[in-house]
Amino acid sequence: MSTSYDPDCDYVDGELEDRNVGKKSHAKAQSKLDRLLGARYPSLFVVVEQRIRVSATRYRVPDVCAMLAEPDEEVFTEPPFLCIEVLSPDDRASRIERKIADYLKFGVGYIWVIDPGMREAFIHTATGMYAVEDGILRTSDPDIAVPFAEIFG
Amino acid sequence: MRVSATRYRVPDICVTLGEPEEQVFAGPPFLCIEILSPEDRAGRIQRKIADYLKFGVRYIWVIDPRRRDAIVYTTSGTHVVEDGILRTSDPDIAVPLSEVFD
Repeated sequence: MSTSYDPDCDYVDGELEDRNVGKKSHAKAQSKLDRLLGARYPSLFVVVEQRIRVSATRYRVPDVCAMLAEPDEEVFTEPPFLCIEVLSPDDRASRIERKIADYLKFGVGYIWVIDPGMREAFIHTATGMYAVEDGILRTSDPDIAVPFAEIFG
Repeated sequence: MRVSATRYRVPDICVTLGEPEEQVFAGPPFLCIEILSPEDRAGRIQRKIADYLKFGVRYIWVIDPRRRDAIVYTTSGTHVVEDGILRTSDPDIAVPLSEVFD
């Protein structure tokens, strides 16, 4: 997996899967999350569109991910603390459901799925999934809190 | 079924542990099944699953006929069906994916 694609794709069991990127609402939310997390939580290592090897045959590219420390490797092989997927109107449920399950199986601590169109978000962890109802995306240990209004504003 | 004061959801299939009296279900089914189509958008399905879990549905099977796989959501976690069998506990249900797709 040293080949480059633009935009970078998910690689799933021998097939490349397009990611829905390139639209303003997606790019804007992605940029804001990257800047906001990087500025407000300097102990985290925050990157966009990082290639991650989640299994022997699967590479995933989250829109944004946060590690508790900067990894040495170019392609990450350890689970991030947080992976963020910003949905586009074209994102198919089939692809996103499988991507979330891959992250969970890999050991990602938190997955935020953000829908800019509906101004909604969902949090997945190893112990369950729920919709964000108080307008704040959160993690624990370390504690992160990001108000929706700052992403969509 | 009425999942909250302002939301009604219609699962593709649902299983209850007894026959409800009401015409529109007001209590959570034991199992809800969603069968994905290529037109299903991610945000809508995420919202639907979150609604089911909050309502108290114990098992949600999200079946993807195109990929021939399935994901099981429960109130305590999410996993891909790896052994080819959709399951619940208490009561035990086991449905091989091969029988669903054939």
